[in-house]
Amino acid sequence: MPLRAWQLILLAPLVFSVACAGPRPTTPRVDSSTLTDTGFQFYLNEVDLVTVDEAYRAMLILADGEDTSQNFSEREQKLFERGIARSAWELQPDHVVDAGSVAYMVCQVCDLKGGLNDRLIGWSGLGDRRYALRELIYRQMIDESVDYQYMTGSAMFALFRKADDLRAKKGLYESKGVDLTDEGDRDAAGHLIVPDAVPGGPSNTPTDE
Amino acid sequence: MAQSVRISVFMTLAMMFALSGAHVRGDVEKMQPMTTVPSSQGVQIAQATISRNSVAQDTPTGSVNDRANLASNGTASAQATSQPTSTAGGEPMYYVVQDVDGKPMYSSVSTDATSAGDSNWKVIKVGDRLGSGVKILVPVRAALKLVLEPSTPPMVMAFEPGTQVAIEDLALRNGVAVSRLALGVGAVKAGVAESGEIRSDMTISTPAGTLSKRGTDIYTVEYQNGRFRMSLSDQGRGLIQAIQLKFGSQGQLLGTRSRFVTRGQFVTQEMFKAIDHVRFDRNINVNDLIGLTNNEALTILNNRGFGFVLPIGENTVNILGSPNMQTPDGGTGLMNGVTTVGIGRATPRREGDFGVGQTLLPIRSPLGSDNTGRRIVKTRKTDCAHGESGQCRGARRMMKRRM
Repeated sequence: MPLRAWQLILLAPLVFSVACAGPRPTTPRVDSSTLTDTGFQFYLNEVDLVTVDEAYRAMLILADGEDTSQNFSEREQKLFERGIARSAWELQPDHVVDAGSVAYMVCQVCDLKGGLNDRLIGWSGLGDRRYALRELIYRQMIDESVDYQYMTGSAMFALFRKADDLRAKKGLYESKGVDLTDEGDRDAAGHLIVPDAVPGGPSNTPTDE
Repeated sequence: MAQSVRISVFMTLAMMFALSGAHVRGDVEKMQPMTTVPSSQGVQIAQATISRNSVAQDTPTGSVNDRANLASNGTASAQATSQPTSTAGGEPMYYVVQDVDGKPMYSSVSTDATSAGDSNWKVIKVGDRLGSGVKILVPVRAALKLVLEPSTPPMVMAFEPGTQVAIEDLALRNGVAVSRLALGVGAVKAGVAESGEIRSDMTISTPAGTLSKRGTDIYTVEYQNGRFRMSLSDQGRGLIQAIQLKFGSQGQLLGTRSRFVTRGQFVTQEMFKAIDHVRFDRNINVNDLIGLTNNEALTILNNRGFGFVLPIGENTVNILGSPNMQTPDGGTGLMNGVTTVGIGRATPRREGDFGVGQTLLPIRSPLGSDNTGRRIVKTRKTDCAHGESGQCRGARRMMKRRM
């Protein structure tokens, strides 16, 4: 039985709703679940698309400095309990994560409240990810994009770096503040202060081993 | 007769094609042993295969890209990368670890970054001496500060969190302290206090561009997600040169662009001039027409759309008469999402786009305007005006102009 026009109009939104996510079409050269937290960070920079499981792990590393979870369900549970992610999204672990979901999680981890619309409407879940993405775009933490855009690895790592920098500046974790700045590394005359090298042992370069 | 002629022509062409094909195959076979590309800095890369936009070829610029990709496993997989021989003909120098935050790691330059944490990687401690051939990983919540040894010239360097960098060459040659860093991702800050007879020759290469300094402190190069940003601090001294390499889809070199940066300035992959960056380095709320400055409002009112965000001289116009939005960052997608709202056709000027002036808006008012184009927004009736003799000369209207 052929569908009528009004039936097609009613079914059209379903097409968009089921086309929002899917598994990653390519297979990375390494299995991210076997990597250490440090290796995982630089894996993010090289992978073409980021899955939900990998994004969840990245958020836990961003929030806690490490991910002690054993599997996806454990990560998901932690993020749900802390309000970093929402169960209403119903994200699947092997699906490619969208920019809106990542933006929302980054806003939660970085304690970003967002604008008026985000506060008034976003809390209800309506447009929460879209408003979160707009907030990050405003802060120049992510490029102009839409919330349903797939998250590439290099974009994810760039956002990851900026979010960590923001957390450090907001004092959300303790940092020694090792840096090279005009304020801290110049004398009164404006000359660069170069400290004497700390006496060390023999060279640690691989060529000497 | 005609049939036989066609057959003979076909046979002749087939033989020519076969011969030319054999010749090409022979050339390929001859070229295969030459896939190992020794770079000028002593790093040898064999069969570097690059999976993304930039493809290094057997060209001098290709070797620059290879060096940048040494630190980036995401953009290249360097097979059979040999150990550097950078200290050949020179006295080795080292970066001594001065300060550490978190757990940065180091290993050989050929070690895969994703394997961080296994036995090939060692946690960096204060006092470690890192020379050429070392790959350094600085994860988030970590940082690293290094000084050069011997300290002639005095040099200090800092790696920010989320940095992957390789020291591919570090040696003293012919009275010059040669330093070559390949930045895969992240940010490096450095400063050299030029003193004495030993000169510093330092370059930091990324897959998208190379920084060359000219007696400089404190400069920063940051590379991530295909974009770079090179800057000199507000109190910085000297000059840095940003060199951008443009590659085609087949890896061929399309050209280079260079830009000098002085203190307080920066340059990105768009290679704008600093004065152009200043105009764009701020948020513009495009929904807030009241909040627009004269420059921005006039640009929109002048049927230019948001073409003003394009680089100077590249305000090309598409078939619909709106400014093209593909050129500003060389197709890296930086401008994705920016809506083009040009109403009419923008006029490309062959001599270049010089922007718009910071002047008053020539808006016409129903009340008229003065000869400078300023809009008369309100008139009010004043008290009686008095002549020299003190007599009332009647009321007059005073114009209040909006400046």
